[in-house]
Amino acid sequence: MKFQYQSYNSINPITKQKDIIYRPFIPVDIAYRGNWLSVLSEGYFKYVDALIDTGADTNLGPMDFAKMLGISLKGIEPSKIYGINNQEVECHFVAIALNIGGHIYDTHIGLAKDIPEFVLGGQGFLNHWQVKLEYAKEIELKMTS
Amino acid sequence: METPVEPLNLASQLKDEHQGKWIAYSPEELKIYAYSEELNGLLQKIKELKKEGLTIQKVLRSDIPFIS
Repeated sequence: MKFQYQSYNSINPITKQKDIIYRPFIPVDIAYRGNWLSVLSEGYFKYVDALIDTGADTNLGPMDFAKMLGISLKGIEPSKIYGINNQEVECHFVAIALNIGGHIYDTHIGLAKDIPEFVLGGQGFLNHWQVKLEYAKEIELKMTS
Repeated sequence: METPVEPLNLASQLKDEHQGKWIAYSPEELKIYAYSEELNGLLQKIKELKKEGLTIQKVLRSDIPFIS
């Protein structure tokens, strides 16, 4: 299946000039214990955009998902993960299901206050999909497991 | 010959005020219907509009390259 890159106005960090940036977002539905975000939102939200991040080791997401999906973090021991600048982030990993283009599978996501975006990383995404990125244009996915 | 692929252009819709917030948009119309600091707040706004089938996204600040 294929998706399009998304484009945004930005400031180019190299030239310091206004520019367009391109990010590989794909539409995903997410569920906790069988409760899909699309259903919980009564159909108002069909998908959430998730950023493909080949440099991230795991799937990550903002804490808003816990509130929205009714996830209780009591009893879940937090894990420490580290960003590119070695910044420590406390993260709660929970079992979820993802629906990507009609393919549904069980995986995990790490939720944290400091994660700004829904990120699809190595464990939980790249280990299930073959991904072809044509920068600024197209994202092609093929399920491998 | 393949049809050229154009990126999904949210750039013309996204304004500075959306940065760091949740937005709800229609991919077909390329129109942003609501935005909010919180996901639940966004849902309430959309329910009031009675607009179904939207895609949501947390908009990253565009002046900072995102590195995980």
